[in-house]
Amino acid sequence: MELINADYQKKTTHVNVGGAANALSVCRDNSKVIVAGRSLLKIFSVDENTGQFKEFKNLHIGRKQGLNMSSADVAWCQNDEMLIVTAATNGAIVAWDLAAMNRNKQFVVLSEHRRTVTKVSFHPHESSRIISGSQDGTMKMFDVRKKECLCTFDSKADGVRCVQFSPYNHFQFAASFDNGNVQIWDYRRSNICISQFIAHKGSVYTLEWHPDPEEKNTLATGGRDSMVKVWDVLSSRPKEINNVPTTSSVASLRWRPRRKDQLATVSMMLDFTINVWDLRRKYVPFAYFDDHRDTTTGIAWKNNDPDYLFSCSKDGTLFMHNMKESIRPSDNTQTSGFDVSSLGYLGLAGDDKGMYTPRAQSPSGQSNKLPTLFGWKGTENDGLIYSRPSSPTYIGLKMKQFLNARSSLTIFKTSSDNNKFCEDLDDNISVEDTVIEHLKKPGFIFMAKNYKLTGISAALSFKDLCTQNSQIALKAGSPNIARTWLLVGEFYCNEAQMRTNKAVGGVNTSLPRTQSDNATDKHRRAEGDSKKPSIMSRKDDLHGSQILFPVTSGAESEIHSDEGRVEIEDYLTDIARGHHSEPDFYISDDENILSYGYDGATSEADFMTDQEWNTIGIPSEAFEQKEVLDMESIAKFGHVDVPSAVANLSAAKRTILTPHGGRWHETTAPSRVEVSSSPSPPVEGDGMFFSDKDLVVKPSLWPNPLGAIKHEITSKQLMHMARNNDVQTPVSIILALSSYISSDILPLDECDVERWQQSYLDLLAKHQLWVQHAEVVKLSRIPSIRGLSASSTVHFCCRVCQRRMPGAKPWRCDHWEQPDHTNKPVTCFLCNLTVKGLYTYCQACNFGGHFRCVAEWMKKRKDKPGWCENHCI
Amino acid sequence: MRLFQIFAFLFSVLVIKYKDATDGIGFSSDEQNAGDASAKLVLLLLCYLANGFRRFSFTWPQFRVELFSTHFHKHKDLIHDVSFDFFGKRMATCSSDQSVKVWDLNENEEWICTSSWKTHSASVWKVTWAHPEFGQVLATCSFDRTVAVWEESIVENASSQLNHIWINKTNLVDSRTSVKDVKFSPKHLGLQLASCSSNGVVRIYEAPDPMNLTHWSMQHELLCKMSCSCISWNPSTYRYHAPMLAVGCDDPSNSTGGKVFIFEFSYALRDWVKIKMIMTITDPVNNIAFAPNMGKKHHVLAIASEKLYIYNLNPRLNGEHNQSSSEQSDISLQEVAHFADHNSKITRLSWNDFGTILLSTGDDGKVFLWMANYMDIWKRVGTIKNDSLNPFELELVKNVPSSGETSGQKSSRISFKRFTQTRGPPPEKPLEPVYKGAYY
Repeated sequence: MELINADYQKKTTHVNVGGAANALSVCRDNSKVIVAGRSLLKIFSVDENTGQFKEFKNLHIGRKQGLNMSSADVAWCQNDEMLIVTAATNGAIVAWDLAAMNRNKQFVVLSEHRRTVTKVSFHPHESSRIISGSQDGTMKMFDVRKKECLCTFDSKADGVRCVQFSPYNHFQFAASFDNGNVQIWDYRRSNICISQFIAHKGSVYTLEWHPDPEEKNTLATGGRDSMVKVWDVLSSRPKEINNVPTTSSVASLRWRPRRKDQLATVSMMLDFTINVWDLRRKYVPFAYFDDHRDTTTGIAWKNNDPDYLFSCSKDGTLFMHNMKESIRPSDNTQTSGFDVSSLGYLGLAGDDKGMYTPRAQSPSGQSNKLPTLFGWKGTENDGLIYSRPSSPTYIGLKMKQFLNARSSLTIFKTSSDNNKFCEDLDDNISVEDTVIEHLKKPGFIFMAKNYKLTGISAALSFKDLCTQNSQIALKAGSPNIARTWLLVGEFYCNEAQMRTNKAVGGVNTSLPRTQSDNATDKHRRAEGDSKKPSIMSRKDDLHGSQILFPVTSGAESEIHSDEGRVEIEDYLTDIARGHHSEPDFYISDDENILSYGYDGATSEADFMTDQEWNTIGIPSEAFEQKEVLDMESIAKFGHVDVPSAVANLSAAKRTILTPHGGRWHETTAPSRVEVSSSPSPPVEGDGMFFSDKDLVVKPSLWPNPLGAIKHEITSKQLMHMARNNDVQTPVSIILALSSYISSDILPLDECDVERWQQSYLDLLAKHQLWVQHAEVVKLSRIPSIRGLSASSTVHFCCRVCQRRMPGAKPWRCDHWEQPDHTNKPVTCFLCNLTVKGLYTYCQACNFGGHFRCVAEWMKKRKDKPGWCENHCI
Repeated sequence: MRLFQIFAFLFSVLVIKYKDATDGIGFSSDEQNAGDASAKLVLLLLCYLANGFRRFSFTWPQFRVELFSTHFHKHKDLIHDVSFDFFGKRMATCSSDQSVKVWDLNENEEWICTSSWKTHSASVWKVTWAHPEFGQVLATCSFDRTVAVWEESIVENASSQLNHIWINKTNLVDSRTSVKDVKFSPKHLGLQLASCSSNGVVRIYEAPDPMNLTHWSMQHELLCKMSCSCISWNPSTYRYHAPMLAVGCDDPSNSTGGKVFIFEFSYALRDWVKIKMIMTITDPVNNIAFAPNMGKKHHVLAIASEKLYIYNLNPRLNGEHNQSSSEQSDISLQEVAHFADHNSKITRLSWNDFGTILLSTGDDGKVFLWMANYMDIWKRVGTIKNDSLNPFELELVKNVPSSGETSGQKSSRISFKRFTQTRGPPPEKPLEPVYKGAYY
């Protein structure tokens, strides 16, 4: 390791040479650099202290220049300070003697080659012996002083790209060719090469012998295939000992002095950077320079100094780069990759440096020395060393770090034994459950799989549906969602109830319904209802009681008659059935819902006593309780005729306005007096329905203010959940509601709902829950979502006109009345009946029929290759 | 018998040594059961020799050994990115060794490397999956200044084995410098690809015909004037949210100002408009990620720099204000949290599917889990550490007010199982891609 002298800190310097440069060469003592180009041949001196370039001599003088002056390559003799050779593009080799007395230093022109000389190179020990390679496919050895060609080597290959004497094997030289070959020659035998091998795909632009005497048989080649390959050429069959896949074609390469495993490369085009590679870590450049603005054409290390690199470029600059100012890509790379899978896997790729440091202690407890395989290990002194980044130890460590960089890939799996189901609504969810739920989503999947989104086909009341779903949510470990389902079930049980009854009683079919079906049914039923006798018998399966209720038929019974959705009889029935229990539920729970809605408190179930939750939470009990209430209410209201109920309300109002939040239980069922000791703060909705005006209303309009409130509360709750990234519950509730009641009653933005549904569908798709995906698409009322199911890839086309069949009647084309259609009904060729389903046909002649018939036909004609009558196949 | 025990002990030491030397054999044994284990060790050695260097695992009470071949599917250089596909069943890794590997989850919940191929002629920085609706498509970006798009095709070879072959569909060569990140757009925007390069140019490509992945046209070129390092699409499908991109820059100097840019597509101008620059972040940004915004109306953006930042972006919606055509939609930024819990720079971020948990990892090799409570206050809820004896246990942070009850102790039910990269050779029959074409 060389000493680092603080005074000898030369920065990267550069100079404008005044034209595009093709090649450069450094003289032995590093004091001068010659740069050659198309119309350029200049010597620059390098200041030893500052590193500044200064123009020393311009060899490009005089009048008549000629093609001899256009140099493709230049070489400075290492043994003779005064001797320079340039290779001209016209095939001439020009030797320059700096010691010449006159201005024109050119002392010999050797015009032996017939085509461009691509490379010229001095013998490392015999100062006047040069070798040249040319596009004409020959190498020639000259003695410059004697001005004669000593020998011609015919490669019998393609044009020569590079040629160089071996620095240690006196008689050997290597040459590379455009066809990808590399040949090793002994210049004493001019007729045949020692060995020849295919080194690259495409041209081998450059080669260089290793400068280290220990590596005297090592040769590096670089070519058009952007590879640098290192060869051991000792035997007659050279073998590749290393390679470096670089970014672009390698135009030139130079071994770094005193660094056995490093070399610098430049590219032929596009890439202007100079890369320094380390063979031990070959995929990432050890360092690079990106100072040039055009293709870098020539590079050379300072002789015996690994810190400085000269380079010239087509942009007309000559640089001396300091390795300390190079860019080390390994310093800036991201060494870790990380991602989370929808299945709960975590993939983490990390630098081994960090990962394996704690593994210094082996599992057996022996703290043995860390094997090098584990990568670079930090020592106690790291901090100290890092504080002095210029120290040699630091550099050594950095080097080690660079070379031993290795990643390890670790996949974490969220454990799957999370089957904890909440027992009741007050169960608390621990943090780890939350984390697991959010990473792996067992609860989400469970709920998605088990939710019933519509109960109409199963003759399930809305309330029952909600209760069931609430149980599922509870099982999945989400008491909050369970509560929401229960509340929604309570809110909408009347209207939903009615629809179920109608669905069951009115149309005795168990066909699965879509929304459109329901809508049409409704109209049909509305028509039918008006014609029916005035007394309807409503069978309430769940409540088990039969309520006979007189309904006046005709138009006056319908308030919102346009769609037949909300009918006055519904409301009346509610009242009669004792759904006064509903207001109490609202009022008592209003604070609950609102606070729940606003701060999202998850564990604050304490404002409801267990007793209460029991009544709601456990279905059988709940219904029994309900029954009692219903009976009570019937007892209470059943006697009185409807107008006089207003009078009774004054009593009710009083209890409502109690500071406890008011409960009808207190009057109707005094045994279940609420024990909440702290008066709850007033809630938002107060003014709206605690005022006299709202309560003392005509009985037919009574539910309306509550209806408005419940819509508001429900939608607020849904929006709150969606804001907290739970789209499953809102979407499920909306779908369930809309399958019973029209969805436009909830004051929700359709775009919001659309987005929730899209997100939910996306999540379902992520877990490949295609059945649930299809169900949501089917139940959705948003046109863009429903449209997803319409995009089928199976289409029926008319046999005659090839147009798509209408969806409703896929056996009859829209244009069937046209003459050409009527003449040709789509019939089976075998049984002559109209084909109404799958039409199997010969693609060539449209001959075909029922799939079954065709299959039969095929069976019969097994011996014959085709089944088509016309022998198309 | 005693002699036998001594032999067994020596052998176990040998095995342990060998393990350390090759990193190939996992070994754990109860000290007291060394004698019991001795016979098994011999058996094991025989199995090992018989199996050659193929992996097998061997379970006995209190005794578990796994042998597998080393260096079989290892990347030969640093891994720069890990990416799971839409379903979370496939994983792609890319490395400086110029290759990409695709790993598939098999029935036994093991990750098997099904293909590995050379993608670029330099370090591959990022790999990303397209939505499966467009097929099994990957995009990679590299130091060699290109972006490549790959599509899988499964072919049957001579011995009727299914081979996964990734075909290069296109190379996007517009960049003049290293391409640092590449991301496919969310599905509803069609097949678009955003890339950013280290000279500060963000390019947005589009495949006009999703069936033809070979043809990509560059739609837009956005300038950041700083070396970009990462890019993120806003995944919102909300009708009133215009497409949005966030770009992070890794310029090392603090004086160059804000390092995060937010672009929004303006339908009126038909171009991307820079609508915001986060001025407060002046450290180089390593990663940036929009949260999936399920039902939210605002966007959540996480930024990994020297610290971890979480921002809320509240857009003023086009639909609400009905703005004039030239006026760009406004957005208000709100920093909701910043953390420096990693005692090093934070390198990677990832959100879970719900957008509720943010996972971050830093140069310290730890993974932190972050969650917001109902007040939108972000807290650390867990750490995944690598410990030599209990590798990768999730440790939960105490006093987390996230969901009511706090439970500080280490949970026995969360055990993060550790797989190493060195899994065995793939099974005889490669996996059937069951999800192929299943979407819509």
